[in-house]
Amino acid sequence: MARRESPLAPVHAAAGAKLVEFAGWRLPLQFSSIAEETKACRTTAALFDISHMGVLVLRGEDAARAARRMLTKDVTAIPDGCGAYALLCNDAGGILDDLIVMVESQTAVGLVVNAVNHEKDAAWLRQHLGSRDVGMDDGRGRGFAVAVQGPRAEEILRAVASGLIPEHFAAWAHLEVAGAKVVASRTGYTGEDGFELFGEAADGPAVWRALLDTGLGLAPAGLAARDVLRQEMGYPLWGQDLDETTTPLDAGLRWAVDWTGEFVGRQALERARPTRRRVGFGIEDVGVARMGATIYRAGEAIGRVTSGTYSHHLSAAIGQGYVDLSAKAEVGDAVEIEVRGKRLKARLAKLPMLPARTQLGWTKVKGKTQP
Amino acid sequence: MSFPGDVKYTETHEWMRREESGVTVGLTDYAQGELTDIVFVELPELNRHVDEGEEITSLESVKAVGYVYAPLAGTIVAVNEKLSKQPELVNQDPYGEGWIARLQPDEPEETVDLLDAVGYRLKTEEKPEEP
Repeated sequence: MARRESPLAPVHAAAGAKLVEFAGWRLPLQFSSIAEETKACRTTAALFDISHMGVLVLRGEDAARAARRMLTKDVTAIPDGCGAYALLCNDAGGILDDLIVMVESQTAVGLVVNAVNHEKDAAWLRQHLGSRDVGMDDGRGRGFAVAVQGPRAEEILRAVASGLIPEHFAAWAHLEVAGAKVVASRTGYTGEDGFELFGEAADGPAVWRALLDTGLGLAPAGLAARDVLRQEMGYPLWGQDLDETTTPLDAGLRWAVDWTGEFVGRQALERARPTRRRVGFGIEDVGVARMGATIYRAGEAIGRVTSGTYSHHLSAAIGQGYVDLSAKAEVGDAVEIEVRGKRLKARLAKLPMLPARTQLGWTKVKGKTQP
Repeated sequence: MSFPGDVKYTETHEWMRREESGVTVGLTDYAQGELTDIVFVELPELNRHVDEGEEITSLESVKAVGYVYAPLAGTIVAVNEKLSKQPELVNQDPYGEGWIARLQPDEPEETVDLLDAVGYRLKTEEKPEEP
């Protein structure tokens, strides 16, 4: 795969950011330290380059209906200017990707997908859309995307944006920032209130600088901090915590499935008998458990770690993994996790580990109930 | 990134400094940067004998685990106990307060084939081949 540079690469180079290869992209791993960047996000705000995220737009008379047939969410029920977290499943109910769907209208639906799955998703959708009335526009390589996340995110965006800022979680709007047209979605991957801004590649550096120049406590942050923040919230990462052999039921993502209509994978999910479930854990010994480590309870292997890191905010090594349902493991159970031949004391924990501080979702506001 | 001239460097990213009390060993500035925030340092075992290239200890960062290898054969005569409470010293001051262990070399006069600052800097600047 050819390595892709973010349109913000020159800005990051000037800032002395440490770069890393991720899903074929070269992206900032770290600007100052993970401790400082995660703290900024939880106390003021952090700015992330997420230009690697894929943007696919379905257009045509049948766009929303076609998206509904492909996704676990009832896209036809999402009001214009709103969005939702949804899963793209295969026929067996396995998760091909997790994504944000953004509805402009019944005839234009945007999907924000994981970089690592971008090409796969585009090919799958092309193959399965099955309607001549729906076309797909792949924004690959044309855009930039940044995320402003933290308690001061709205104040910061307000300082540089003109237009009506979306009020509710997962609502979105067209705004102008630093003279550039952007789509601003009130979403994120940190558990904090915040926005994800999508625009034309050439406008990226100006938008990035304008946000930082507000002087409102916004700190640039890298992928390393973003990974810690999402793990504190128990958000899954595709490729670690989710994959094509994992169903939404295994992953505890039943809330992201609307059973109101047909969609690819539905029949398999109706018949599925989950054998494992996703849980969090905190380590009580000195050490960090990472992907692949075995989880034991009373000497018996009951599961496997899929993500692990260290949280400065919680002063503990944390993570998530899957445990067998047959073990009847409960949150709070004492377990051991094997790291390089040593069994570390740990405890199963509820996810998220911190309360989310996102805005109330549009579903709650418009009187609709989240299934 | 700093490459002080008063230490020697290994290919595995340790530095060593000869002092009267022995040979002090730590992790290079480059290596601490690659690891990101270090959160746990397992203190090396005092009085243990290590061969050249043998693992002295491991460090956990937010992103990964890192290992520290002995630049020469010797006995561990001191460990930086501060690191158990303040592992971030390895990030903040890798060549000073963040030192990891002191070795008494088996053969004090032995010269080991290590990199100097320029050689090590060149090594860290080697870019992996583009696919």
